[in-house]
Amino acid sequence: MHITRRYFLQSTGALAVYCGINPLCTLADVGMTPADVKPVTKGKTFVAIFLRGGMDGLNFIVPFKDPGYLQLRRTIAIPAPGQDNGALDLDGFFGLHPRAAALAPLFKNGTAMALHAVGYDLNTRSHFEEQDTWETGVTGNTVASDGWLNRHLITSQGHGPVRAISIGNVLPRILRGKAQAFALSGISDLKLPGADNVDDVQMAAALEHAYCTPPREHRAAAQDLLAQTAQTTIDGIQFIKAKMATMVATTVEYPKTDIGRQLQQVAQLIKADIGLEVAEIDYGGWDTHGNQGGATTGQYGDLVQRLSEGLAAFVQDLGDRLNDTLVLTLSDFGRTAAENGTGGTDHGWANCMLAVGGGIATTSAGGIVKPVLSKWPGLAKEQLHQERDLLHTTDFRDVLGEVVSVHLGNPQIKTVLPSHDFKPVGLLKGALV
Amino acid sequence: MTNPWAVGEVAKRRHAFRALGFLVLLHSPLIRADTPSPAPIPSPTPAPNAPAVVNNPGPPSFFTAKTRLWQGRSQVICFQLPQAAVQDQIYACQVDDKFVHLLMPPRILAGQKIGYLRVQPVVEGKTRIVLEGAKLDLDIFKDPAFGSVATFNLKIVSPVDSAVVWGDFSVGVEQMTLGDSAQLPMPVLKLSNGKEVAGHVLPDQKPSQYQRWVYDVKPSDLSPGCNNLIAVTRDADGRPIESSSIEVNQVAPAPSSIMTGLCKDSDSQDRPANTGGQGEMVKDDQYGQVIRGVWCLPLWITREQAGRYQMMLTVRGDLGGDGLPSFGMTIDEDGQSGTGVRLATTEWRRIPVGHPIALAPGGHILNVHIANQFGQGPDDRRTLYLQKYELTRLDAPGSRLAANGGEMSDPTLPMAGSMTMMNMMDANKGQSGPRELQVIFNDNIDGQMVAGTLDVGARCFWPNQDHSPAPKVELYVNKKLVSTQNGPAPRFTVDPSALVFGSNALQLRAILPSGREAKSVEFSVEVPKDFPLPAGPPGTATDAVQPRISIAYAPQAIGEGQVDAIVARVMDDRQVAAADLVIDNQPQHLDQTPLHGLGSIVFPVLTRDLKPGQHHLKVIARDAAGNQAASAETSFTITNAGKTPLSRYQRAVFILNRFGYGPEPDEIAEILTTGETAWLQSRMAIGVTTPGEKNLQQRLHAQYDNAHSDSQGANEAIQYLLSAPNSVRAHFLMWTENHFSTWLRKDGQPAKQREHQDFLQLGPAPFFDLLFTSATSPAMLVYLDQRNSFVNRLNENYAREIMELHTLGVKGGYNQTDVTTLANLLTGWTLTDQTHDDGSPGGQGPRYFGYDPHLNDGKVCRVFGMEFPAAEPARRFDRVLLALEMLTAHPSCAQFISRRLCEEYVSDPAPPALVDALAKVYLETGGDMNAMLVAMSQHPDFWASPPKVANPIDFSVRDSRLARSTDPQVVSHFIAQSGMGMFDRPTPDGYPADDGYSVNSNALLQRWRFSKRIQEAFLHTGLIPNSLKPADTAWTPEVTQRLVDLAAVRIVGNTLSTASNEAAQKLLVDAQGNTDARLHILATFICQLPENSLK
Repeated sequence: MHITRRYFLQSTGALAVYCGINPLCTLADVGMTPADVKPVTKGKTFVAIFLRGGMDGLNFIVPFKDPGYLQLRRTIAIPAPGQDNGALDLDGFFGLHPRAAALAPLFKNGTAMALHAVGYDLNTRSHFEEQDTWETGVTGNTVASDGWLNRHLITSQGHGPVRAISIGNVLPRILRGKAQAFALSGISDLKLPGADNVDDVQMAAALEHAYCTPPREHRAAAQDLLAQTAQTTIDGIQFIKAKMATMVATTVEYPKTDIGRQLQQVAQLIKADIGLEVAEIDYGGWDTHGNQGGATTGQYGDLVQRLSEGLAAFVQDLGDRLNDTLVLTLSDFGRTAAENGTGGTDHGWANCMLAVGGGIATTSAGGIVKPVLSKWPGLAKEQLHQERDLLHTTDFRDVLGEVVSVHLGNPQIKTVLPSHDFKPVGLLKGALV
Repeated sequence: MTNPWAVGEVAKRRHAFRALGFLVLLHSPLIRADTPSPAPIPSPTPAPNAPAVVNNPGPPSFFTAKTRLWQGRSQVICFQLPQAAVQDQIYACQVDDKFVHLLMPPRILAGQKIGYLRVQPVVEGKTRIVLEGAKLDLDIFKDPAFGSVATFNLKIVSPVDSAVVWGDFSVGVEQMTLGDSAQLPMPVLKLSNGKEVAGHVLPDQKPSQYQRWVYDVKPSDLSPGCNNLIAVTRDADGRPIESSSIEVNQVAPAPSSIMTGLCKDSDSQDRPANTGGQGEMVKDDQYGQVIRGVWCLPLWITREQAGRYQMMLTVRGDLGGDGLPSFGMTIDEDGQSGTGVRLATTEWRRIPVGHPIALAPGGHILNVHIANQFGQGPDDRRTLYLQKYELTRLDAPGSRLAANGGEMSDPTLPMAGSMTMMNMMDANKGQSGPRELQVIFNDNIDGQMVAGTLDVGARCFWPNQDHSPAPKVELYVNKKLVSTQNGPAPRFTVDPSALVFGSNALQLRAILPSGREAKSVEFSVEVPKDFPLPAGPPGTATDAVQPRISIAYAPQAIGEGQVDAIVARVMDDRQVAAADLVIDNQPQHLDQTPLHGLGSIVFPVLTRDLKPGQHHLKVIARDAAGNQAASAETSFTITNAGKTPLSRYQRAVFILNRFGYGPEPDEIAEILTTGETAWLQSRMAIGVTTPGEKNLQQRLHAQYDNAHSDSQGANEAIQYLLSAPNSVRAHFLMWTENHFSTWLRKDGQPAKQREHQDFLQLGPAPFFDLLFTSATSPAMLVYLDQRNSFVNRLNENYAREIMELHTLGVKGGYNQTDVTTLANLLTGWTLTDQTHDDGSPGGQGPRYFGYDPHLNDGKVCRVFGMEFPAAEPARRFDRVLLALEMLTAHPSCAQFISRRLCEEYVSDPAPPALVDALAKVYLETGGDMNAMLVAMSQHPDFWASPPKVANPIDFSVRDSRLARSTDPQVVSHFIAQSGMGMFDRPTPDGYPADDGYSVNSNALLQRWRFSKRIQEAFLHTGLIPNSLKPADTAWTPEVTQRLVDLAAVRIVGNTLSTASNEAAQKLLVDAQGNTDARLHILATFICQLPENSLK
């Protein structure tokens, strides 16, 4: 029995495997031919952190200079910099939630940037619909759509067998589609799910033998499909495992939180050089309708602190590899500009996004120029959308488009983000604004 | 903002529409068989591929030589011309009026090749339609469901179940009818103490689809405490119809515990915004004040006054259009609690408003508002008049719940005082327990053969069960009380002396301390007749009676290396301890027991070690006392005839994999002993009214009664799949719900749950019934936005999908004009939003199908080659029925439905010859799904179809059922992660049936993980008999091979492929650990194999 047979390479061709396309699906689904599939920039990784529930961007990147801010948020406002538990000043207008202090040095050295007032014009304020919108990159009717990151995979060619991984139990919509994407709940998943007393190599060999041994001409279509998929899966898992086995454990201490553990695993995968292009992490709990808390207390501060400390450790862990890595937070929607009656905020409109990475256009020769990228719409009553929410001045698809085209180097923006005219926002170095 | 159409509720609604609909049409101007075509009407733009028009289109012909009709149900029949018609034409047509009424003469429109006629059969029998030279034989059946389904519409609309009452109050009963056609007999209101209350018709009720009666109930009519109310009437054939029963609690409150007053507009400030009812009027008649939107009652509750209250209002309402106002009550700003009422009449009446509410110390505002929303439409205002409120504290000292000792110890009522407001609201609304007391059998032993001591397990569910004592449970055998137990899951041991030969009836009865009681369904168990009844429990008397064994199925020949099976019937005067198969005098050590001690056992016959030639087998069994017996010996031949056709056993496995959920032993036994077609027909015929199904339904109802979340709703459906006695019907249910797919997350749990129930009741019905159920399902009408479609504001979503996805298929021949015209024709086909049990007018509460003719323009229109004449409001409903009948009757629909069935059951893409064959059956049987599935199972293309990937639901339900695991969580977790969450397909096309959808890296990893979870259950349920478990060191290749074969036959129904077998062998031989560890490897790995993912 051959354990490491690369049956699939001969039978389906390297292209199909390396660009992650299920060999039975065709590019015709997206109106392309194999000739249109170009390799992505080598070594780049994009990490999407989905803040499920609708993160309150106004208390994360705080517009303390906007006169409306304090008026709207009687009990949960973050005081201005310099006051007790005040925001950490970023650019004289915006400040950072004090419990995001771990991120402050990143803003200072140019590896972090926030985009503010990002959204789009058809927000329904529904969790389901808006998560779908952000994950499919399609507005209005998202129901028939696959995830925009999956469309990126389909329309480009990668540099390794495992291009996309979600660290979580479920393959999120953003990665769903016809391209192969792994959902792993952690490094322990790299053991092929088998009985407890079986060596992983034996397990892989046994599954591979059972699924892939019969010659292709003797297989029915269903068996062939199972065989090819099993081969890709077993190889992918084995490949990651082999790479991980030779790695030295990180000395960086991550916070003992779920988000910390997930980021640590993504860093490991990046450093393992498996060609990982896209990683996704779900981070829930942001639906703060009540008892949101202000600068010191409340659930919101806890969420912010865990995220910030996890990201700080991630940046330290990656070292030079951060230059090829981009982390971006996404969320359902922003929350109401005003505080509600239960010390929280309700479903709103535009939001902020946090970007961390080496290629962010925060610096020029003269130093840090832009910790926050925003055409600020203002919080005065007449400036608010429907007199209640922060208006969007940047379309989220422009941000995503820049990630796809500039960071990942995939020119097929039109296919990845259809029905949208892409305009770069200037988040990344090299973006033509 | 006024509208007449919010017209009460319809829970079930199938045939009655149709039965009455034809009466309307008989007198409609549509009947004009001998008149020429009316004034020219512009024809719709023909489809781009419309055939060329020639002068002589040739003679008409039918698509089949025969078809089936159901008595009393109108049906459209299609015919065709060889060439498109030049002009609109009506054909002469002969029908025998004794059998069939012609509702719409054969007519074809200019430019069309297909024309339509519509008939209504009146009596059973055979007759014929002659259309010029074309003949169509009609076979008219009496629809067994027809008539009894009229129960769909009888309902007690007020008070709500579990309301508390004192003094006189009114009960409202509603039944649906059709327009002005029939005056329904008045139902009688029956009380659980045997009394009956007569009702009266509302005096100024307008003709409508709904009739309502009011019953004035006096305190003397009711018993103190708990009373059950039920409305009873008869259908046109004299068969009884019962509403579901509701419960009211009569109390005798101390006057000091009643807060009462006149309803003034006492608080017009600071009204909560979320009580709904925009623009409706609530008027204080007494004072002539007009209250906008909502009437508010501010309250200050002291610490001493805190507790549970029931609101009683004296109200009357103005009829607005067809409807009287419903009203709801919410409490305080958050509007979380409170309940609604669906009755106000034109006379002053006292009406209990919803359930009791909980009031904590402090200030509160009770808000009363009209709760049936108004849509568009020109009609008068619906107005609610309020006179007097009475708010009674139920747990006040001195108040008595009941005179029979129930008083405040009634454990079903939440305790007051110690709980906070929020807690109590939670207890009212989101309690995990059921609202009613229920008692069920824990295991489905209905129809089982039993002997010796009988064990009966029960389960009880009751309100507030975490905080109140369990009921007393009694077991009745043949109506005699034999045992009483306490506890939530009592077990009874029935002495053989309590049983008689032949059939024995078992029933459970549970009684709460409050006196509330419930009964289970009646199960029947069979004691074999020709055995002496044992004198006492095991050990107390000598058991000298031998078991008796017969072989019900044995193959005569088995191909070399193939698997077959023996079905044995084992009987004893007590239970059989073990049975084994003996081949050539070698015991196989398969040690099996029938599930309930007696009955059928399926033994696998493994032939790996048998040489070609003749062999002998017999079955031996022994009872607990060691009495042993053997069956007669039978012989079989091992043949080496190369590739043999599928054996009967293999065919049984195949048909079970496709039609049910895998090779369950009972099903295998049934197929091998009765034959494939007989088995399939029996499974289709068994409805959901068997005691076993009812018992399961009761369990699900109790467990998921208060299900508020989507995941609970999904779990209920999964639980049904795992426990359903009839896997064929359960599988078809999944096909149906995927065909008419709606998205739980958009529909909301209550609507989806009711749709699921409706499809469950229907089973493999004629396709029209499935379509009609979907078309009147609030889940569908919400999901595809039909409720938002109005004249001049059309929403084409549903009109398009009903043709594209439900009936004709995307290539079915319709065009954009048809979509737009059908959307216009469907306007008025909508929902009525009624008040919810929790009093809120919006959100995810119950919604009901309704039809409002005033939302439709009633103008003449042409859809898909049929002309719909202009219609008065009372005739407009029937036009929609006509449209649904037309879509159902169309040959494109026959093709499309046949294809969709094949994609699920046979292969995707579907074999064209099989699709054509099934389409013919469809047209010949009036779309009878039952007949189509049987025809499919008999078609060679079905048997020749290549392996198909079991989709995630098939895969996990199949393995769970085979392993007898009934945990829905394991399955729901797996299918959600595999991209096939229950009712979680956002798009209306349903989950794809192609293999590619179910196979990807993640999905495969999920299957391998699932295998690890489910293998425990396999091992717990005797995957490998103890007698065959080797010592830790005895895993020789021969032993290992035997265990692999046995496990494979149990899990995948067959031995493994060469590659899988080699892999399993090597894995087990190389494995570390003891026998237990290796058995886990064995079970896990076989579940992980490709064989287990194929069907």
